Amino acid sequence: MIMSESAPIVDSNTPGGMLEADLVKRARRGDLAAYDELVKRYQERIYATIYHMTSNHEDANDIAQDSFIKAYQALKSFRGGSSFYTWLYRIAVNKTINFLKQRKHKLHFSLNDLDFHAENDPDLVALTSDKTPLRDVGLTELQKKLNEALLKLSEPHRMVVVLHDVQGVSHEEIAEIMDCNIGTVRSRLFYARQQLQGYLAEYVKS
Amino acid sequence: MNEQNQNFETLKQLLKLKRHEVPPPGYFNNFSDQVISRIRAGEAGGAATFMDRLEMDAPWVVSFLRIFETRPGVVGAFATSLCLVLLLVVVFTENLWEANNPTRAWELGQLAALQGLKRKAEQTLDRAGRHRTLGRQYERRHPLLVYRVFDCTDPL
Repeated sequence: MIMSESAPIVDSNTPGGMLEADLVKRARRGDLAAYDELVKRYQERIYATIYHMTSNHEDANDIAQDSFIKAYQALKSFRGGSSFYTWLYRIAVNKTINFLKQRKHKLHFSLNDLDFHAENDPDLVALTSDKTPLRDVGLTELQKKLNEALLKLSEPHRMVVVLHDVQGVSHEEIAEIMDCNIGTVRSRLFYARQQLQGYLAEYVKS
Repeated sequence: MNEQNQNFETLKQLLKLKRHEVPPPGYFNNFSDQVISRIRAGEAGGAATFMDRLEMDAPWVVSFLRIFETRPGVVGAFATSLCLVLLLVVVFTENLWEANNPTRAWELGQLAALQGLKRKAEQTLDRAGRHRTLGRQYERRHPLLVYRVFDCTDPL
């Protein structure tokens, strides 16, 4: 789910092996098979971004589907100034932020389960070792605390943390997605981390 | 600073936990099918609406409009300030127009001249009225002299 991953090009005659630009061109002409391939390429990243912003699987599912439909509707206005995924991300980010603003006080958790790799993740293993305050905390409880802390951040700050620290998107790409400059991204990231550190003080302090 | 960086490292490690939150198994197998069938079903049938296009081209405008949806108090404040600005613009442009428009300036000059003439006429009438009153008073006191000097018929 990290953006730097790229799909290998296998066969340029099937949608699965086509370049993004060709798929976009075909989708603009109404080729749904080409658009299906684009959805498959980006569904996990888009869903993950929205899920980490809302901490709710059902909401993430609805917003992700709406974002892809909206992108299809607006394909004609896509001028190719940025890459398709950046443009798609922008749609998803705007939709999510608007959703969160409208539902500010009605948010509730519907957290996904942790996969079985979580317990073996070296970073998490290091965190839950004997020397840290996390040793007595289960991963599920930690997941809940982390999501609670994230939901306390403002939408733009949360978005920057999710895109950078969770999904590994670069500062430049975040600036393009969020339509702001890199300095703003960096300052938001710093402020958001400080805030999170405060909310999670008992777990983060060494 | 070093300690803070150290803590940010711990925080970043903690945030990696989020990467392990995954949707139910098989969720993505049907996701694109659902999107495509919704598009086929006509949800995407028509062209994008004006608001959709606006959101795509100028998201800040839509974000600005959304503020009104979520905060009704802002609507009133915005409407009031808009009215004030409109009023100021009207007053300012009217003054500017009067100062810069040659026809209007000529009209104003004419008006001033007419007002000056009117004032003079009123002064003359006033003076004439005062003279008439003085004449009548003199006539009452010295009726014979008045009739002789001005060659009038003696009323007696």
